[in-house]
Amino acid sequence: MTMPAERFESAPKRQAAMEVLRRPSVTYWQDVWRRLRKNHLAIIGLIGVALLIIMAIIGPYLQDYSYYEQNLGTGKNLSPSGEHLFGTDDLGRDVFVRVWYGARISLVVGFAAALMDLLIGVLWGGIAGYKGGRIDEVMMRIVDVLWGLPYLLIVILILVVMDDPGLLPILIALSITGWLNMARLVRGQILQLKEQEFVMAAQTLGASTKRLMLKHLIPNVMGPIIVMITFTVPTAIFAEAFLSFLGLGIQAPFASWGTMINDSLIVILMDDWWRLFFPAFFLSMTLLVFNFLGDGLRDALDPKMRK
Amino acid sequence: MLRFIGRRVVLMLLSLWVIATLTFVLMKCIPGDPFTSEKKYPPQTIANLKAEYGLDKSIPEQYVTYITNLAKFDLGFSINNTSRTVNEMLSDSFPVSAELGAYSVLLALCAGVLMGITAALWQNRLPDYVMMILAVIGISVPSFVLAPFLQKYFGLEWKILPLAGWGDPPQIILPAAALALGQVALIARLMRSSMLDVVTQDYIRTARAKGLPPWRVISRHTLRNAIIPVVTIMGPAIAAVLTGSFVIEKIFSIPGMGKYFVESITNRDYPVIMGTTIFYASFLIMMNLLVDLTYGWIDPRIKVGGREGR
Repeated sequence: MTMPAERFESAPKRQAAMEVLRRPSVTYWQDVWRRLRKNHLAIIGLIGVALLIIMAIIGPYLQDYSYYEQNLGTGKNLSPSGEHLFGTDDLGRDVFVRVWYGARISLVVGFAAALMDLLIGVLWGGIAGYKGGRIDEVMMRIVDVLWGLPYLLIVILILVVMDDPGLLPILIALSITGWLNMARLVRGQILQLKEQEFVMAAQTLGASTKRLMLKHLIPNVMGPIIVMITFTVPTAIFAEAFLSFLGLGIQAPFASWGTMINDSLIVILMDDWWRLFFPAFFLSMTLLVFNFLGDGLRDALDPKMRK
Repeated sequence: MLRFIGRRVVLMLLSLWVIATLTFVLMKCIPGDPFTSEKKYPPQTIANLKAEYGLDKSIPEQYVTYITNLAKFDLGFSINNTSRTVNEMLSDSFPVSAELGAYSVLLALCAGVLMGITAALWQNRLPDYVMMILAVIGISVPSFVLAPFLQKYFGLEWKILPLAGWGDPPQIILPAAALALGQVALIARLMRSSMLDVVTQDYIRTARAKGLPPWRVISRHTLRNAIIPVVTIMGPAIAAVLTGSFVIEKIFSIPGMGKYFVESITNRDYPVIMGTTIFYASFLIMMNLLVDLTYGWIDPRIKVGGREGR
């Protein structure tokens, strides 16, 4: 059936004008930021993390003591005052300076673990998911077997063998076992993504595997990766404190929150509350703000929550 | 189902073999041997000691003996305390740890589920806020931070509960509470979101529409479905309680496995470290399998055989 031309009516100009986008288009990340901003807890988390980083950098310089400087004469077990904001410990060391020095160690451990998550986890999961077949099978079986092993036990075992307590062994031990979650997550995401049209389009245009991974696949998984990282950081911080508490981590004279809590366990029976309270408080606060931020980011990035 | 169990058992044995081999290799990497000490023994004594413990053989031979012994559940001797085998130490201390762990997991489950239900039923009202604040504190305060404060207030200031020790029933309360808190928080959060998920389902509306009283809708229809996801985190929860027990048993001087494990680490008593690690690992791996099987059993909608979507 044909339509005579006169039965057609040209659309009014107004309608064409309506099609014009009046507002600038919002990118994915702007959208995420908008949603994150509305979430009070997430903003508290963000501010908390920022404050923590700032204090870890400048905190140790705010008082004229070093973290290892002892004062065995008159300076032992002083309660908090203008001179020593958080008091001193049983060797006369300033707790304020030691707490912020401990914050440095915690943050270094947290961010190093996040970096290893990115380097090993994303790459491992990405390759397994993208290549598929045999390679995927073998790579994920390795992850499955390692997955069955209890995380902290392996870390403890590695630390016992290295027999040289300190920051580096902890970092090594945590990175050997810490990337499994990330590998599983990235693989699952890549498996879904690689079937989509934009990947086929890129392949048709002759994009190399490297380009496909770095420019097309990984950026699309960035949301879940970031959420995973915000949960990796507190897990690693907790693990370091736990190991230092057991005496396997950072050793004196260096200050770690775990070591400080362990050293002051006995004083709970006395009245020197500040020695236990401050490291315990800041450790809990750190875990808290990272959890707030992680929860907020998950809600802001989760496609299921998008309406 | 059978195929799934078979697969999981093979994977489990593989995990166990990896951890056994890993511990063996790691222990062989340690420079020196257990008999390097300040006291100078005559070479003959050292040689005899090495022969006694089988350390004079080649590494592959030692490995074979080690794996065969493991298969026979023989974990060897403690080096610091030669009169005791690792098996004896474990059989003395495991019941203590198991009791503490079982109470903690039970407490976490009951308290967590109750808190989650309360929060979901009064969503965005006072009980919800109180429960969720408690949950957030539970997630961010590690057990070894909480434990000394519990000791100070309940044990020392108010003198309600014993400070430490083991044997009397009241002595279990503080350590179990310290161990459970983090898990209570996780379970409460999960239970809340899963309850909120379920109440919007059609079958709940149907149940209401046919005139069931609200408490019956909750107990018969909502709870039964909402509690399923909680089972999935029981595996990690058991693992967390177990690792937490290392520090909690130390703080409360409880003669459990955790305390021995920590002591053996401090004393570098390698056979005990190896034996305990392998025991812990096999226990956790078996618990995980059990949890997965339970999950498939209570919720027939879940196809446990499938690999996609996990």
